[in-house]
Amino acid sequence: MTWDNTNLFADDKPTDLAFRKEVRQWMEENVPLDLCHRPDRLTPADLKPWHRKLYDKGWVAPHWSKESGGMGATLTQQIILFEEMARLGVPTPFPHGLNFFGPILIEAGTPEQKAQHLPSILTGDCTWCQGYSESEAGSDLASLQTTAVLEGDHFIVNGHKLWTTNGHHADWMFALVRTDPQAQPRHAGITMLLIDLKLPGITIEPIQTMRGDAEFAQEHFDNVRVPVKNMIGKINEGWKIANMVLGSERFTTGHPRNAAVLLNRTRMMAEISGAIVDPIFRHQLAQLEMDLLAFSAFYHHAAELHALGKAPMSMAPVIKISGGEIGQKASELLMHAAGPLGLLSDNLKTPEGLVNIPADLFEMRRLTVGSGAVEIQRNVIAKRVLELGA
Amino acid sequence: MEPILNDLQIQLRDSAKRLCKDFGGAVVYRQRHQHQGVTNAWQQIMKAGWTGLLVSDEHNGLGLGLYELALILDEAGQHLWHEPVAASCAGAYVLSKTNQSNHLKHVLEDGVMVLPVCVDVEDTYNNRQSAPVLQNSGDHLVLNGLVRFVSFVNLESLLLISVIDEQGRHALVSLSAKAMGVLLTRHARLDDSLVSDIEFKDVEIQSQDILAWDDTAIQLIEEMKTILRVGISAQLLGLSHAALEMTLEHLRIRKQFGKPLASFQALQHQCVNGYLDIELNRSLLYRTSMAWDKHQSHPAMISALKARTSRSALAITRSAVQLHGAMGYTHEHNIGLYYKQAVVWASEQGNDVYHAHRFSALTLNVEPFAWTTQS
Repeated sequence: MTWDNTNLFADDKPTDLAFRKEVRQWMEENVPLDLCHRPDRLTPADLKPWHRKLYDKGWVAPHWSKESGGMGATLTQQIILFEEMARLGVPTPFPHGLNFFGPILIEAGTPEQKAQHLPSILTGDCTWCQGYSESEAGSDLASLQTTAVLEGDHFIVNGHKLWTTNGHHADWMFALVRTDPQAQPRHAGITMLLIDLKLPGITIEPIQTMRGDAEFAQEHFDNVRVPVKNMIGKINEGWKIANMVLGSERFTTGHPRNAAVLLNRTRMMAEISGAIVDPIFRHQLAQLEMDLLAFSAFYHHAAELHALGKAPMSMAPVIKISGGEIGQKASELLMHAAGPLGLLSDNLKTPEGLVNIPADLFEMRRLTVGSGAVEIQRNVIAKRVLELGA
Repeated sequence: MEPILNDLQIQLRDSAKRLCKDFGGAVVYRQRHQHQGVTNAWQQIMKAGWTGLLVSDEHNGLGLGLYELALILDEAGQHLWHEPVAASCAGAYVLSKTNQSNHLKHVLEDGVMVLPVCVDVEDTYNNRQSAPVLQNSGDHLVLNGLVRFVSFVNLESLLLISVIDEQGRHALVSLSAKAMGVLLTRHARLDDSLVSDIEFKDVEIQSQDILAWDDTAIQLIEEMKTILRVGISAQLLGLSHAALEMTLEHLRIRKQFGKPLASFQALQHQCVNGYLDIELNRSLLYRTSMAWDKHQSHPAMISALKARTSRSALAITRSAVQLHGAMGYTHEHNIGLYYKQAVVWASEQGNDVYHAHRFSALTLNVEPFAWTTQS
């Protein structure tokens, strides 16, 4: 029996099988080949035509309700769409508008805000970024210090946002700002604002990552006037709103396929370098493949429970920690397996297309830091699941 | 996360919970050396019909699957219950598959313990054992050989033995433990359980005692091993879960430096790592069992399950003893029993290193290189 680590414990029901078949056929006919299996980082501009094509097909926002212009898909259908794109190595559209902000807007936006922003998120015409982190507010997000002071029908925003993915490519930012400096607990004084990044007083600088490219940026706000109508929900309710929509997005960002791709690349490079016959290398690979198998079991178990509305709160941090750490270890074993080839900066031509092993290694470092470091996720489990506290 | 269960499965789990609580636990563990052969617990298992769990309805079994067996043994592990449920289920399953209705009746109705005796010759840690050999001796067949460290054998047991003949053909043989020429030598283990070395000295084998030959025999033996491996993995999972729970409770109560141990992040994260392992392994156990029941499992999944549950049980119980401090090191405190049981079960049916190698062999199509040094 052959071992396919990209398809472990997948068990489509008959109706899902039909959907998968339809998706697979359409993807094979429509994916832009120049975007597939690219070792370099793609920008929102690169993805725009593909985003638009998915929009025209009606598949760009599977998790949004039909009334909001989405597909109203089941979780399984959302996973199938992700898997079929991953199978061909084509990227999914950037998640900041579609997955992070869109659901918040649908849940908490006014009719005017929805009318203004939902259509351009769907078409991909507007690129969004998430303005949460600051220099003094990373893991401890509630201590953020960018202020917004109400003056008539505008907020005057001053401060600094940092580590903003696509900040230098984005048109708009959904940001958390401090509207009550005295509030206790601190997260009670936070508000969510939508900021047009072309407003006067905003300067944006891209930041180079260790990969050598600009994935994120920093933004300075100097007396930026943001209309009150751009506030989401009520003043000082930003924390609640930001945490309102969480959970199902983990099923795409945390899909076990992400680590499977790296492990298969590791296997291929080990065959090229010769490491594949080394018993100790094989043992290391087996450990990671077994971890991936267990993680895949957990993932499908979680998806089934989530669809029944029975997924526990621990699900999201477990997926985040396990998926991130397996992916990270896989990138390290990949570097190890490739030997001297792994050290070369230029893309390598391989039977599976172009690969860049240092890029994989460096890219994986962010998996355990971004959107909640794994240490914070462990604290969450300790306090809220295992009931270990002060 | 809880496995997804139907009403019947919930009932089964609840009755397992009750039974394991009443007839298992640390007190019973500490009396193990006084109880050999048929215990109260075993009589309860018989009454519940669990030995026939994997036997189909038409053979008077419960007609359930590995998923349900895993549910029961997950509970058993939590209560340090070591009765040979998986072994008997595996044995009864094979008796039903080979239409041994007489033997099956004794097992299901009279409480005869049926035990697989399968040497895993690929297991590097098996003490260089090989399967007993079936030889021609005049007009009949005789069995010779030694199989070591078999759990729970007593004179009333029915043995299902994996053997080879002089041509290297595989066969599966049934034999009473009190047959002429069968010699049992017992050893106590560190968890107060008993294992036996079974020596076969010119044991006469009747043709009706050979249940299967060749590929059929190989497949039945493989199925028995799978049931045993999944069964002990379920026990390891349950044991890990219980040891972690006990440790969490200790951390919440015990104070040092004026605050509960539970407030120290270094200790919290040790527990979270154990929790993560248990969460993934629980899903792995139930998804793998489900796949086996639907004939969709891959043999490498079984090795992954045994390797991971063994490795985590050792890590979790090691950390549990550590976090209990000096009390953890005493004979008196029960946390040590979980550690000992983990050490034994992690080794049984193949340890994590063997199963990682088996996993590699089953998933890679290139042979490993044999290292040599040139002189």
